[in-house]
Amino acid sequence: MSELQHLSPGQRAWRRFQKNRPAMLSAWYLVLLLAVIVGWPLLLKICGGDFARMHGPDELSDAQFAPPSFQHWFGTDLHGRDLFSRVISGAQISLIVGIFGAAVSLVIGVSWGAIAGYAGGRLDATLMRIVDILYSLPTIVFVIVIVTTFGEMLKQSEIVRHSAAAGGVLRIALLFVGLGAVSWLTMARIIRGQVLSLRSRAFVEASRTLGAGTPRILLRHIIPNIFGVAITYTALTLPAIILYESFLSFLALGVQPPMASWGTLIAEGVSQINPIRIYWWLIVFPGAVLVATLLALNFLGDGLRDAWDVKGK
Amino acid sequence: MYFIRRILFAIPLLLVISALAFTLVHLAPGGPFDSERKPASPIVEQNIKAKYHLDEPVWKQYGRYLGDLLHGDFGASLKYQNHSINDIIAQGLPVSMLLGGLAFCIAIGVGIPLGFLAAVRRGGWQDYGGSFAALLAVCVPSFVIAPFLILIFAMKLKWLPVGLWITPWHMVLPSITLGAYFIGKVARILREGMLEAAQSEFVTAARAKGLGETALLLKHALRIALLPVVSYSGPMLADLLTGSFVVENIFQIPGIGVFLVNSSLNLDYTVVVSLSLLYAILLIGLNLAVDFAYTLMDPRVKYE
Repeated sequence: MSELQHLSPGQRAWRRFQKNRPAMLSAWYLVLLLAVIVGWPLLLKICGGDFARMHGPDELSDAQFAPPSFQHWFGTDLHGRDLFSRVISGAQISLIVGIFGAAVSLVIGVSWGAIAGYAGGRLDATLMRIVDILYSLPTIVFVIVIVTTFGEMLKQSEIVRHSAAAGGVLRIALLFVGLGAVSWLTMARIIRGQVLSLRSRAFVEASRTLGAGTPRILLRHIIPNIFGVAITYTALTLPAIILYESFLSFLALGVQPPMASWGTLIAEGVSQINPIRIYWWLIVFPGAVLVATLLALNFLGDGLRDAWDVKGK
Repeated sequence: MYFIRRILFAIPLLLVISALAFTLVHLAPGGPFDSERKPASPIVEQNIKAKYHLDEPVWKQYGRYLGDLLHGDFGASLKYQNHSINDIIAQGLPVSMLLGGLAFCIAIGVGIPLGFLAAVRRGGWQDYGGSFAALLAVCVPSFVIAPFLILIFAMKLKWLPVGLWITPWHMVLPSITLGAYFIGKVARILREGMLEAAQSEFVTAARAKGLGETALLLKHALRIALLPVVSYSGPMLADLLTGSFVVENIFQIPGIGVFLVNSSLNLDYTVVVSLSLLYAILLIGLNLAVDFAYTLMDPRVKYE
């Protein structure tokens, strides 16, 4: 213990995190997944030729519904596309939406909570009352309304008419902004509580007595101290947003073809369910990767929470 | 008093929500008729628009809509020509409510024993197994569970039907699918609550007085540990209602979730607005009911 005492809070948190077996394992899984997501397209590009033609995520072939084999590890789909490549490119989209969506919720949640907690009084009451109200509303319904209306606007806009690729990118941006915009409530509550208790602590009072202004107190004292909490709740928001995204994509309201996400892949698999032949690999592989990723992110978030010793909801 | 104030507060809130939803859906270009064949002449198109008052300014349409709402009329669907939205709600809502209710029973019926067992055998294999099962239930989305249940119980074993909503047998797989996530959630919340209650002073006091371990856990700790589950049940009921979109979609159940998703895809804006409003009303009501139940269960809680 004496050894721990000269460490910074961040270093102590890192030591505790390393001792958490499931969290470390999850972190390694996520690193591996990221490596494959980045490395697989590169490998396809480098090898080129037949290998790329067989495994490219958008390469059609005659081998429809081939079961998993040495050539196609996860089998192929209705159009003979390699499912492994499809799952990897789906992972790319799902993770992008998740990470950017969590970032949006982080920005909104931290500023909302910090303002409420630091300002106090009537402004605090109003801001938190709004959070309470939003808590009691059907968020997923709102995301559906937002995505539908703005999605249609995008479809009719000039840029999208000129290039389909821009349309896809804008659609993804719309998804993560929409999802982030409804996922910041818990973050705002937690941050407000933290700021509220920090504000009255002795070291902040001391700093104020010495003549530090509001920006300096916020930047030097408040923000560094809520850093761990903010990171922890971002990590816990990430799987929630990925889940929402796959949920919407499954309903054909999210990512649109030809782009794939885990949700659309599973939807394709479900649409092929029939009593005659069972194409289990269409559901098992995208589903397993999705579930493994969600589990890993949850373990990671819980591990971070324990490591930073965050209390609260 | 507090509750009356909250009910009164809900009215302007609903107005704001409906106005927001109405403008949002109206801002979207393209209407429900765009995907259809062009009418023979501009005059026909004019007449169709006039029939649905689409030629009026937005604020007037909203006013008309609100007026109808006050008469208990949600208006007409633009896509389903022969149904009013009241018909859709009358058909779909009972189905969605029954599905949600069954899933709620499953979540409570399985989740509470699971969380209780995990907490009582803390550190044992029951705890690790139960906690992992609960986490897994939270992480496996319904659209992954559903195909597996269908493949195993409907396709391979042929015990249960694949879809639709006719006999009680048709309700088994959808309810389990929808309830699974909440089993995990309830179990996790109850386990935390039990562990916290076990450390509290009144449990120590009761143990010191010589109360048996079983009575202690069931009568004292469980009662306190159930409170967070009660306060979660409001959002849970809400999520059960709005979370049934996927389940209704996969099992082809004619609930309102399917209507909302389809109307969203069809840009049938009156249906989208009405159904979001309906969801908002349901959720606000449910949350009120849960808060009320909470005050009854926990006399320490007082709202000013």
